[in-house]
Amino acid sequence: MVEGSDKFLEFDLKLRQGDFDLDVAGQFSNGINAVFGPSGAGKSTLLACLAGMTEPDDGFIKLGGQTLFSSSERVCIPPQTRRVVIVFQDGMLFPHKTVRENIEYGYRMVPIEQRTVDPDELCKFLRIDELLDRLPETLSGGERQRVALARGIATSPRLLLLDEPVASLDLGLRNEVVSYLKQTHERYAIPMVYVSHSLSDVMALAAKALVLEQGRAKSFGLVVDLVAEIVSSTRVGKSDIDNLFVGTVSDAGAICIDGTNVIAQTSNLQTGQRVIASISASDIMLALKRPEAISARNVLIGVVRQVEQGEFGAFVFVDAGAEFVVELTSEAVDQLGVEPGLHVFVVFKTSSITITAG
Amino acid sequence: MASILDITLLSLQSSLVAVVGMSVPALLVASYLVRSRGRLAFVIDLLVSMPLALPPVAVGFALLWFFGATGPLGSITGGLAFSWLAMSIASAVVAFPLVVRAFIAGLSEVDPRLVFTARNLGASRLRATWDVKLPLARRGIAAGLLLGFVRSFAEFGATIVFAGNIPGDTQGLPSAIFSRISAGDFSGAWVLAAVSLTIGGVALAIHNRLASNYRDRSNARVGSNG
Repeated sequence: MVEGSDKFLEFDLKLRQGDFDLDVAGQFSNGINAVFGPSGAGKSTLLACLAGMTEPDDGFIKLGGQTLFSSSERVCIPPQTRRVVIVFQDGMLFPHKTVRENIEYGYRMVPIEQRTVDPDELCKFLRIDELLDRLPETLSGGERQRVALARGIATSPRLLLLDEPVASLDLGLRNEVVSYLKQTHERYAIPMVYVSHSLSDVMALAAKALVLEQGRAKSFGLVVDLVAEIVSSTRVGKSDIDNLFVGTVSDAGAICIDGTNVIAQTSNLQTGQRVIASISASDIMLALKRPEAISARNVLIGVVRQVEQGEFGAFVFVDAGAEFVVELTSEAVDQLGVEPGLHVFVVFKTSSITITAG
Repeated sequence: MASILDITLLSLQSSLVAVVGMSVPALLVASYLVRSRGRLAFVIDLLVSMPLALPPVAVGFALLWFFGATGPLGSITGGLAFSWLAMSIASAVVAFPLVVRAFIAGLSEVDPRLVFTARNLGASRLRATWDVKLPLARRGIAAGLLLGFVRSFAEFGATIVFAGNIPGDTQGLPSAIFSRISAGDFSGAWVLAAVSLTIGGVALAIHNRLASNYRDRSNARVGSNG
């Protein structure tokens, strides 16, 4: 992941729209940053300001040292020259243009010396090269989102804004698109701001998150530090938090995730195939001793990294080769004496793992 | 006396010029009214809708004053009244509110985020309009142009006051029908009415077809959401 300059994107924005009042400041790095909050918190409005769709009443936006907007200096760079591209929840593909025309639309307007992405290679990478002559209405939700992503990336943007790009997809497709986003970021090193109300996506993608509530920044920091707060502020229900992993099928019914082998149902998958595995945080148990004579097939050794106490229980982050989030009750945390540095066994059933081909 | 063909061609010419002439202003006004809700939008909406509320004769009278020798535009356009161009202007003013209404219906179907997406990907405002907004609103725009044509083609009151009823110069189908009736030539009037009915009817049929497709699609969309 490309991390770096913590001040890649800086903003301080004030905007009044009817009854809604946005007043938020922040600093994002050039990695993947998440903006998290319940609906109506102002997430989309913030993105609209960054992209130049909405002009704030007051404040400034700076990207890589360049002022995109400043009320005091009377600067407002029009959207077409910002190179800050937004991908909407429903993709917003041009319905009267084919997939190819959609993708080439922005690409052709980029001056040749600024083009850093080869659209053909990009389409192969996102596995949409077979769809190029089709119209958007014939695509599935996941395909549409990949095309929208390709269309944005083809313009070699300086910043990619993702406005709940997977919210309208079912779990399998969601994981697929999230995995593409992650790989896309790794491959093309395009800084991203990812807006979501799904904690699993945020945890899978972003290192840092800005939590918005009623138009105000409630907190900003590492995602792992914010989990408990995010859960209480958005009332995410139990079992809504998934561990999302990208792995490959190793032989004999197992998936290799960050060097750790996890036993899973791989009967209709091929060895070496890339998959996304998700395990709900509430489906994982912790044990202090290696459990014996137990039906759960996965018992991994790990070390507790962090414990976050929240209103609805606790989230324990365990490094077991791959990083797991485990949801426990506060009583369980006290009884086991779970604290950072503790050696534990991570236990879960094969059937708790949902596998999606990536 | 001018032939039926000449009268028909003159009517077609003045209506087509009226439609072409008002298309861009109507598009600009409709685009503005679709995205604006302020006091200025209210006033502009009211102004362009006024011809709907006024008797066309009064519209013609106002045009006569406006473009007349002593009117605000008199010195520039001294010879405009009682010309074929006056026919186009009179019928355009009367048809304008209908065209704007139809354009608004078409443009408001277009998701503004799609138009913004074009700009976000690097298109200027004009280019985004041309590449995305107009193609997606094309049915509404075509319906508006046809409605404008039908209304212009049937225009009588404003035209006869502003352009007169000069056979061969400013006598289109409606004024010619009026003259035939005044002269007691009822069969001649019926023939011209039949020509009017045929051309206007065909244009109206196409318009209705477009407009009903529109409604169907909107209904389908509402249905799928609910």
